[in-house]
Amino acid sequence: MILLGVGLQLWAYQAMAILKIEITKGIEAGVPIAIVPFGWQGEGKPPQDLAKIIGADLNRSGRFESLDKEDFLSRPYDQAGVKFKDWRLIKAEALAVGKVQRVGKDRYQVQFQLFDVFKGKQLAGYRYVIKAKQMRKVAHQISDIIYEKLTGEPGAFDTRIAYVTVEQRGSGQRRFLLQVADADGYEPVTVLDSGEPIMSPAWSPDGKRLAYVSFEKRRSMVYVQTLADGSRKRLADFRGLNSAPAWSPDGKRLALVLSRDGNPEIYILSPRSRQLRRLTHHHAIDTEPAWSPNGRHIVFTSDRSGKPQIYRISVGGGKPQRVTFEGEYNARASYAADGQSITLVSATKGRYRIAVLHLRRNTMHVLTQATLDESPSFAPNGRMILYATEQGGRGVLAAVSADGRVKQVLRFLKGDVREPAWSPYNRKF
Amino acid sequence: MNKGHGRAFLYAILVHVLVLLVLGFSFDWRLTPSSNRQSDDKKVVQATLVDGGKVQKEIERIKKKEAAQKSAAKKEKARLESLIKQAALAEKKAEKRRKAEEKRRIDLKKKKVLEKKRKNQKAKKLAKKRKKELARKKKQALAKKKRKAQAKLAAQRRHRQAEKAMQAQIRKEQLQRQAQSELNKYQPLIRQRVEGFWIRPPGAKTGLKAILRVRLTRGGEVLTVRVVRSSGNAIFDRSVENAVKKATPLPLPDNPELAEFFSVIDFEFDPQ
Repeated sequence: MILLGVGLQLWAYQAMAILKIEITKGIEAGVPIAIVPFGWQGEGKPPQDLAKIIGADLNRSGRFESLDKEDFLSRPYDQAGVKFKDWRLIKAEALAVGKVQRVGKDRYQVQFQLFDVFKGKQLAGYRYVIKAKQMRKVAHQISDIIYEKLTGEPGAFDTRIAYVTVEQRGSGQRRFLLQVADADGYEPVTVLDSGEPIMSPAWSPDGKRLAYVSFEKRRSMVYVQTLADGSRKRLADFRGLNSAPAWSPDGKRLALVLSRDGNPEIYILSPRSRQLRRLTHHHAIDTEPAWSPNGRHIVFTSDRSGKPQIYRISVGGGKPQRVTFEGEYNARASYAADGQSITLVSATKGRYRIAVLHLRRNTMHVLTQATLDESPSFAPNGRMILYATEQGGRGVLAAVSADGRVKQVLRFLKGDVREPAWSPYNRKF
Repeated sequence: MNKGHGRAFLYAILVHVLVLLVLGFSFDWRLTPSSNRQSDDKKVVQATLVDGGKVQKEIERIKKKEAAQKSAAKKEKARLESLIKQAALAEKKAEKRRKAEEKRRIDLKKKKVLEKKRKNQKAKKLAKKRKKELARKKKQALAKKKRKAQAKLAAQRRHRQAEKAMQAQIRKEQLQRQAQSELNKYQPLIRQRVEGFWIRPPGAKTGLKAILRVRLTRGGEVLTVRVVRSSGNAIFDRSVENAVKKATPLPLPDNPELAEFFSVIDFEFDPQ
């Protein structure tokens, strides 16, 4: 009897002893999300396929995997129609549903809801009344909401990119276009159309202006153009080279490269006071400056060691510190918004690829495998990098997730596209 | 019988009285006839009267004698009467006594009968009581017997149960041993499955750790997921919860008894 009691106790104890399993790794994959085609109430076809835009946004980020709508067991467009079981079955973690309703002449009501499938609860719900041409923007905003709700970080879909498109027109004439488009490459707007090269577009921190280099006067000059009205000012037209403008985080100064003193050096210009200060002093080429987000440092490319490498210098001046040691060639550095890492072009054996260097850990992570990738810039949330690459002999833009897992070439209908720059968070202009 | 007896008694008394009377009058008996004869012979005697004075004297004497006789008779009669009366009285008394005796006897008899009856009744009652007692005792004995039997049965049952429990225990221990080996087999399978569904949030800081308590059906279906220890990061927590929920059903042994050992699992997410 006692033995039995002990046995039972032992049994109870062992029954109580809960099995423990330690999980130390996961997979690198996008969070599966189901974005159901939006319902449409109106004549003909809806102005845009919102679900498609959102799905493409989320996929491009690498953080999500928009599930194939062919696998959907139902297609609800509001909460009443949602059966969470249907979505658990296809292992969707999140579900986005919505509908578009024509409510007047060029007026549409867009409604959307985001659900946590496994908890069976709504995470977000929004309603907009917009014009047809705002449809894509609203789609990107919805993507941002989804991104933020599910990752805890802000999305960067409702942002823009600036880039230069080279078009071949009839009779061998080349046109250089400075263009601004949505972050997915859609809705391009030409900001400047020139017969001479345009280079190095740079966004002002408020997203309202672009600084760029234009050769329209047959030599390089730096201009600043306000996007809202197209007005522009010549910022730097010093003797020699005027290139690579970069805005300070407070938007009050620009770093740029001038060769007015004989050799390309980094300068800091305060446009309002017209004050110019030389930052670097070296006989080698110092170029491509970029500000740290806290405004205290500037990274730049210098071949002072023989081959181009990245250096960092205090904005107040001083001795530059070499930052990159891996690879034969490192250039075109720019900071992530958190200041923890920089993206750059790193070349080994003549292959130019996009890489991310973690500054504190001093580890370099090469993200792309092509041979001629260039001009990387972080999305304002630091989760994606926009860069230029070559596809079928022409320049195109591509985006890669900061972990290098997902790459996607943006859709451009024509021309040779290069020199991209990702805007800061969107502010109305 | 009483009556005959009584009458006989009466006759006896009468005979006695007569005897007494004969004896009492025996003297007079001899005299009486002479006197009678004398009275009958008076005329005769009168005719022979001789001396007046002497006759007178004689007459006187006879007269006296007659009066004395008369008074004696009277006396006798009264005595007889009184005797009769006394006899009657005695008779009456005797009767009364007899009656009383009779009554007493009857009463006694009655009493005896009653007594007997009572005794009978008492005996009967006693017998009844005894019988009852006996029945009760019998019943008690029976109940006791029954109880004993039941107790025995219960004991047997308990024994059987104990045996069963013991066997179950042994079985469970066996199962546990089996489960241990199954555990070694299934634990990596479960881990792999969950890892295959865990999308680690790339933005999450390192050092985040969460523990989930997961309840499973014997078929491995995830019933409930509870965050036992939060990482402090809602996105991280959600990612691990979703990992487990998406991993349903988890691979468990086919034997439901063994699967029982996997009914609660703590998953510790500790990314390296």
